[in-house]
Amino acid sequence: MNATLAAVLQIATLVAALTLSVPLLGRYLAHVYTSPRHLRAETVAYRALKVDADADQHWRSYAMSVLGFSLAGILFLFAFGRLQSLLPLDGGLDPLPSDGAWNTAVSFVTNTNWQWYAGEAAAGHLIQMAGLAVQNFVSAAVGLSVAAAFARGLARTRNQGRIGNFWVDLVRTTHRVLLPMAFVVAIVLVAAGVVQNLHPVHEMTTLTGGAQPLTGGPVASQEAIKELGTNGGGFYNVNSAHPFENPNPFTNLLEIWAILVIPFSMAWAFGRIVGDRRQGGAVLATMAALLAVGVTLLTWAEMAGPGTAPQLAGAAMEGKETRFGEAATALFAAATTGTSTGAVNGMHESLTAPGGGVALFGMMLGEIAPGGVGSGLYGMLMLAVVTVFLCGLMVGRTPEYLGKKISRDEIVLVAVYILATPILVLVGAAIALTAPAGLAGLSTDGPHGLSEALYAVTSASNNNGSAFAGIGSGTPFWNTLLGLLMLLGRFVPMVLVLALAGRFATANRLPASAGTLPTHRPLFIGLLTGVALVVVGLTFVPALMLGPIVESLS
Amino acid sequence: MSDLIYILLTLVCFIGLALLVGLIDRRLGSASTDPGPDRVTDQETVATVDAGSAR
Repeated sequence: MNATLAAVLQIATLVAALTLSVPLLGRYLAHVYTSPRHLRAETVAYRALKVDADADQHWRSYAMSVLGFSLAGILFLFAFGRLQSLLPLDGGLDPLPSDGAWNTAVSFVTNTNWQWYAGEAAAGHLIQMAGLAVQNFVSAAVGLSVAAAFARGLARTRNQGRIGNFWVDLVRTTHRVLLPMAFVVAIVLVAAGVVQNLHPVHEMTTLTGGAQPLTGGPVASQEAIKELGTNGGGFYNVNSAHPFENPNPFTNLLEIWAILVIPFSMAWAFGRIVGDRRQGGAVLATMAALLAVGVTLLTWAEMAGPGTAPQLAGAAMEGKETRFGEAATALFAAATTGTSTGAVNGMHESLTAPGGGVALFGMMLGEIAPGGVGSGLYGMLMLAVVTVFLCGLMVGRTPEYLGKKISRDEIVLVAVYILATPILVLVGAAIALTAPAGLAGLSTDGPHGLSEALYAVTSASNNNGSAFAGIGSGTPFWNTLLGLLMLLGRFVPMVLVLALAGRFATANRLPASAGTLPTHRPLFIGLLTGVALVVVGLTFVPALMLGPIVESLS
Repeated sequence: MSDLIYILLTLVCFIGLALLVGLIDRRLGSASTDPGPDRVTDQETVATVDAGSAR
């Protein structure tokens, strides 16, 4: 089949699948986050956790619950990594080094899933199942819970800063959303050929007489939640480029669908939670528009982009998922960097310079197209607040969003949110590119070397987890730097989002007036898209100029 | 030894984050001071945003 036709059909199938599934899942998510009823299994969990499920938390209590839960997760996973060799199903693997165990613990708790190691060569079956996969569920649930709390904050009026109950949100998200969905997707993946077993490493003899270790494991179950929870990483080092993890075009498309379905559905759910579905539609349309631009540019860059080799070969084939065609890698790359997933089916190091730039830009946008589970929605809503604020300045009226006045305190919180991640990225890049230990991890110098470092710190700070594969990040310097960026990049924005949710929940709802900016119409979608691009452009274009843009021109 | 360093680093980061929560709460003033948990029958209030920007 013609490559262009295959690319178009692939995208059309994905769009059709999302169009069918997003409204259904969005409606269900809204029900999960607004229903007053607790299921029996959940009640048992609350009793075991000694949680009063009917207690509504102030934003401060909610934030402290998020932090406490995540701290416990990091310490538990750190100990798991360090004690791996003493536990069953270790596969004969050594314990992770201190810096590596810490980086891994932070990485999975923050929903980043950056892997400094080759999955099959460092993590045994037990830590994969009882450590990493568990965090894949609960870290995704934390993100979704915070987004739900933010939506509630906008929906409530004079509620003294109360935005819900973190433990209820966490249990419901895990029990009612992620577990059932992951179960079904894992079964489908197994049926389609993805590996699921507890076998030790097999030594195979190749045709040339050489020995090759063949690693099986609980791959399908890990794969399902890592895509649905926009976690990323992979059981195998090459992620979905490995035939055991992604054996055919169907599983490839299913994995991309799994990456995108919950973030888009959360936008739909948002509209229902705030009582106006058009608001959710506007957010969803903005996400879709940004993703469409990313997919188009990345596909063009990889299929017809600049460079002697791509022109001669008809496309940039190096490092691509050649079983499914380069368009499949481009679509996967756009989906994984538009969300906070970070799983790959081709090596991003091998993307053309403009293609790599698009992937970088997708992360720099704050992963709002459609973003990580939960984090995509609240990231987009923060930009919506910036948009109404800027429009308010232009027409000289007090800005408001969904009837909530945006005054000095609110805009300070939003401004710090907008600045936090870029500061982490740019300061992190500066440290990495000036420290000898940082430079030692780069595979090359010049603009591509800068892109490697910039990509790594951007990926960590935005909790993405994908990497330019050339970078050697398994050193104490890189593990510590990236671990800090992941941790601060996850929880500083979350605290600010919850604080703003508390403010909104406390505030009155203003009546509409003739000067109120409608936030559900195409004009607002255009403004929001423009603000997202301009804010990121102004912040990151100088750094992009030195990396992918210079490389494209050279 | 290095295990201890990373555990301490983690604790320092989370103490800093907890302080950030406290700082923001104090700066936002009494309007959003924690009134303690409130038992609710409907966990979430589904608002009608007719008066908001839905126009």
